[in-house]
Amino acid sequence: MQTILVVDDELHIADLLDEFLTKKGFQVIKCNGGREALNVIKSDKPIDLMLLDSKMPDVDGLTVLEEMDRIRSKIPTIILTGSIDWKIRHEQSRNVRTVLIKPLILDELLDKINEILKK
Amino acid sequence: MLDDNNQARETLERNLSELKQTQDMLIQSEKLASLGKLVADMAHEVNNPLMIISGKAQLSLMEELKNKKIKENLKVIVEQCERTKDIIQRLLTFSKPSKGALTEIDINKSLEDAIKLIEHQYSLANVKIIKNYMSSPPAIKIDEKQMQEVFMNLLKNSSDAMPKGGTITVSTCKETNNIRIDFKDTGEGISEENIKKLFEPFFTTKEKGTGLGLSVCYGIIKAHNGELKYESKPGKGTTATILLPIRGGKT
Repeated sequence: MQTILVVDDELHIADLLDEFLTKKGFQVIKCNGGREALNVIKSDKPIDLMLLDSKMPDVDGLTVLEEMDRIRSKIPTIILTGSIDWKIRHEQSRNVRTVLIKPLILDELLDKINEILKK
Repeated sequence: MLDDNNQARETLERNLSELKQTQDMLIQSEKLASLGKLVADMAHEVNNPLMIISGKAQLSLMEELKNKKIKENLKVIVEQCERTKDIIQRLLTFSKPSKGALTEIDINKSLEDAIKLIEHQYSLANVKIIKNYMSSPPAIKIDEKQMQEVFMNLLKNSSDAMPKGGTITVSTCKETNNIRIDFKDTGEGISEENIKKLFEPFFTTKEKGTGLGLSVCYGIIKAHNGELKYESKPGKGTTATILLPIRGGKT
């Protein structure tokens, strides 16, 4: 079973992504902030893909990506953001495979996830 | 002596009028900048609750729903969330346009493409487009996709202003360090009061307009370090003018 790390400070969003992905047969690890996510990433748990929110109060998406670069983590990441402006900034990061604008159509998200995991 | 006095008065009146125009533009620009900030902050705050509403509705749709009415209602919720998402993204383009891909383009060709597209999308019945392009325009670096959106918006507005038909003259020329593009229509014109509000988000005089088209155009042109302005008199048509710096692309 493939594992997806879901990082979003909005509990309802993290919960609904968890519910959706579990339904689709993935194992989900939920984090409610960037700091918690970095702890999971550094713990060497096997993670196949990460869904990362861009704007979070403790440690934001960009900082998580920078730290991942620093520790040479290679988890493919999908950024979930509210604005195109963030989209451009995130696209420059090595681990980012795509950037999706909220609100998402969940089936489109699933297609992207499967596409990335197949590669 | 009398001639000298008259000349001095005319110069003074002209200077005062220019000063008033500059002052009006500054006030408008400041007003739009603060509106832009408000809009950007609001958009960020709205996206998450919108994601929750849409996401929960989509999850509910994945359940075995026997009640068809509930199913239909949930579909409408998802559709309307997508519609709101689109409005928000357009508002963000007004307040903080994204930096897309800049390419070197021939402005005449880009206008031609926009005209072809608009002729394809809308039937411009009784509207004649007259082209008055400069020869060998200097190449400029712009986000062509965004600029096409601006051209199409201005052309559509000109066409909408002439329900009984008329002409749109599209012209390009070099003006100091800028490329100047004019869209001059023979439509009903815009009142002085409405001209001041043209770029404000949600301002519209159309029955079915969202009032975002020109706000988005304004944002895009500003991001290219350019200028978008309107000149009009009721009953005497309208001219929309874009100035784009030849050197000095997007911020």
